[in-house]
Amino acid sequence: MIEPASFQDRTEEFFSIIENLKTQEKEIFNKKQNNNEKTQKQKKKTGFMIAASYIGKQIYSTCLKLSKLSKLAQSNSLVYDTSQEIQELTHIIKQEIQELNSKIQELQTYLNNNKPNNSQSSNHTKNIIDSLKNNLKNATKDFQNVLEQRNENLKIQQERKSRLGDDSNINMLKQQQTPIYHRPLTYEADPLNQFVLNEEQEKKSGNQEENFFEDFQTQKTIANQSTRYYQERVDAVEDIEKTINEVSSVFNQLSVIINEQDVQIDWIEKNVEDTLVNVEKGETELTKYMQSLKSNRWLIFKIFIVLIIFIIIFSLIM
Amino acid sequence: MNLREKQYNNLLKVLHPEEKYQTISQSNWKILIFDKDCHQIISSLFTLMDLRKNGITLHLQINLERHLIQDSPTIYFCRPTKKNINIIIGDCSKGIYDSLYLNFTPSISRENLEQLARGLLETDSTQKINKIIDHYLNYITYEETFFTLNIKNSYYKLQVDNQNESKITKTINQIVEGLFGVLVTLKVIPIIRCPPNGAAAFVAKELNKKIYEHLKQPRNLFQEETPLSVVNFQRITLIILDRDIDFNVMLHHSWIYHSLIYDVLETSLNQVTVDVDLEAKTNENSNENSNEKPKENSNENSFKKNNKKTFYIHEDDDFWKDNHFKPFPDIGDQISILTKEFQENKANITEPDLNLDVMQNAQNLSSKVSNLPQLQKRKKEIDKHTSIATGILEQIQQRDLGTFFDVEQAVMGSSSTSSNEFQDVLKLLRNPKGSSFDKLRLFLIYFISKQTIKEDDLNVLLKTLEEQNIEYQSYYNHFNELKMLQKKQMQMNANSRSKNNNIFRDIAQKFGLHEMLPKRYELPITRVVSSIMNVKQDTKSANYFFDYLDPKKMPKYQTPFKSAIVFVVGGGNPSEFINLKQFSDSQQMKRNIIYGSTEIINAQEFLNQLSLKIGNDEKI
Repeated sequence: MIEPASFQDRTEEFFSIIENLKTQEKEIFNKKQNNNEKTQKQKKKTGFMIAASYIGKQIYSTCLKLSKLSKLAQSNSLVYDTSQEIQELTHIIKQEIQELNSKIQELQTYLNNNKPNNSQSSNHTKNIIDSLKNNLKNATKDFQNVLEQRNENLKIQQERKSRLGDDSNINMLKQQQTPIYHRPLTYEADPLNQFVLNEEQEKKSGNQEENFFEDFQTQKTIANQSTRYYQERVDAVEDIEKTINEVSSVFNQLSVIINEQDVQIDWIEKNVEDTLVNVEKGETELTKYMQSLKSNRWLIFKIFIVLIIFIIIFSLIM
Repeated sequence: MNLREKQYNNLLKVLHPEEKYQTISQSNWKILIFDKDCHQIISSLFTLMDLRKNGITLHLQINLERHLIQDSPTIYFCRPTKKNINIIIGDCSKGIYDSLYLNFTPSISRENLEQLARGLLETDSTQKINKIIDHYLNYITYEETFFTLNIKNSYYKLQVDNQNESKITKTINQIVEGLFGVLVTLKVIPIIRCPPNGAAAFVAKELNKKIYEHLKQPRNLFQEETPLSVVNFQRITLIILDRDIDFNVMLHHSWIYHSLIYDVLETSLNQVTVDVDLEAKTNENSNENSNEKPKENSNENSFKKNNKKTFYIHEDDDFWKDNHFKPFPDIGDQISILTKEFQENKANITEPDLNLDVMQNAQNLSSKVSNLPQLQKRKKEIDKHTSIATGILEQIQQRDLGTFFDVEQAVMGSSSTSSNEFQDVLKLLRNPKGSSFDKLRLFLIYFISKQTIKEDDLNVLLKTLEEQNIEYQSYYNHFNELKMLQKKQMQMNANSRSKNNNIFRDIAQKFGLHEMLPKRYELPITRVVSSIMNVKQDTKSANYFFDYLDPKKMPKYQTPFKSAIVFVVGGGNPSEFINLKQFSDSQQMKRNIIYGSTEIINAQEFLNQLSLKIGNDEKI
């Protein structure tokens, strides 16, 4: 984005005015200057903010890892080399996400125990936590998508190979077909576009492998190795599905909270204005009431005076 | 020339005072504090969700009580008034925030800046200030090329005869500041054209002076990144006009969707409020698909209260973008077409293709799922516009607006009277359906459009209004005065400059369209703009007698303009915006026209301003 330059930075001008004022009225401000330094020393970040920004950074670094993973998952022409790395990375990310989730919850409980002393401040901290959760939710969703892609890729590969190889694997595959589509319905366009692209790439690389495997078949002596390969693949698929399930539980936890928040997310306008109007209304009502009270008091007063006069007159007559 | 986008980018700078704009690392949480004006600027462009994405956790009004919040940078976005500055000083001395970024719009004066410095020194909190930045964003954009300065009662405020001078100067300055902001945001130095006298001329002269003074500074805000681009040779024109150019457009009943929304529904800026109960009644049957996704309604960016819903209309909404300028009947058709399309798409998704096996079906499903968010958005749009259209339809039926529209269109079409037309008007004034405001508008249009009305006819009309208990007298007097003034002016011109008295024909034509209604209906404002943009040389055209001001003081520019900013002093409405847009689209060489006004108001608000003015007259 091009930085728009249609604004003017007046900070320098402001501070030069301050310097001028200081030299003009030295005595007055010198005393305060000392206090100033003291207050600056006192300025320290609270534990909550440190923790929150730490988590924020962690989420960011997890996101970076995630993008690396998705790249790896896309470019798997050298199947044997990357699968190891992918597994490791998957494992790391999974752990990080779970860790972050528990950390955010810790932060939440910490906040519940040490409530800030005013509603605005607590709103602020609550929103910080929400934004952390939201970021983590997005990361989790992306992670889930990458895993599902990977899972599908593996299955497609395997199906192709099983067409060439023995039939026993097909049965295993069919058993595993059902649990793929338990995704949530809210999807962003990007990861899915990637997904479509990815599939196409996958087809190309799959073709290469077919050729590769035809060679394999001619050398039947290595048949044992290929069954071991299948076994590994099946393990990998199972592993990934397990991870998906675990991660999706985190995701669900988060999305419940976020959904609650979504309802509140409306345009800004009304809330603030409504309160303002209400406050004003209340004020006018109060002043009205005050006035009516005042007039009532006067009325009672007057009645009393009249009564007293009557009593005096009566007593005089009597 | 997309003003909305440019303003958005400038606002991002407000929200990200230190960093360059980035979306990924969001661990910078900030608090936003704004005053009422800046609040409106932001809320016309940002949703709460957008603010969250930009790291704003909390947004507060500057004039309300605020409490201590530790550790988070605080962004102030407000007008540089003495009151706001005192509040900022107060906040600092109370120490409720640790680090402050001050954003002012428009720029803070040296005097106020010194006041701020002094106040902060006294309370010993200068180290809390991180940055002070001037912005030039005090206008509100509805659409890419449609803005308002949001100055309330601007027509009333600029009436010379009942205001003291300082008030008028204040309003004019406000307008100049706003227009200057628009120009800075667009980074253009225009050639200013205005009528030779009136409020518009005032504004133009002041603005010209302001830009000229500003250009003398070594670093000015109009400098572009690539100073020697070809674009620089292309000048742009800013046409400033008075509301007097055309009253009819403010009064008539339009048939255009956009205008109708502003005319008959409750609106404030770009929000529309519709009674949803009504919609529920009429739409019970057609809404069978609402059970499908009950979650959707709760997520909608609308606000439910007392069975009323508030919708936001802006260009992110595709339906709005494609259809807002269309006549109302087309909207209904469009909605039903889209609903049908949507149903088909939905059926496509829910019903599996039986010819494929399980695996292929599953794959198909995933690609279908990827379309869901788009489809969902579409549905939301359809629902929204169905509600709005239903609300409008109800009003149209109740008030018989169709007839009003037809008759008014005919009345405005010619300046001479005919008995048929008169009968139509009379019939409509006696129509029990229309509201008294509708009738008043019709009468005023008839009165303004016709050069001479027979006295008998006029009396009949006035009597009818009286029978209907419509308070017309004051408005009638107002326009009658204006009409007399015009006639006098015309006569004077005829006497003094008998040779070319036609020069002032355009001014005389303020009251109505004197030509036969062309196929493509052009409003007076559009004819003025067209004449100036095409640099028409003939002595009848607005181009000939409008003043020419160039802040750059360059030799007179004679080539036709590709782009223009049209600004009406004293209130504008969507009809003019759309008419100009249609004009710019219809040209062989595509033109860019930005339309703005001191405020966007409907007929009722405009008449209210007139009654304010009239009320004031009577007091004196």
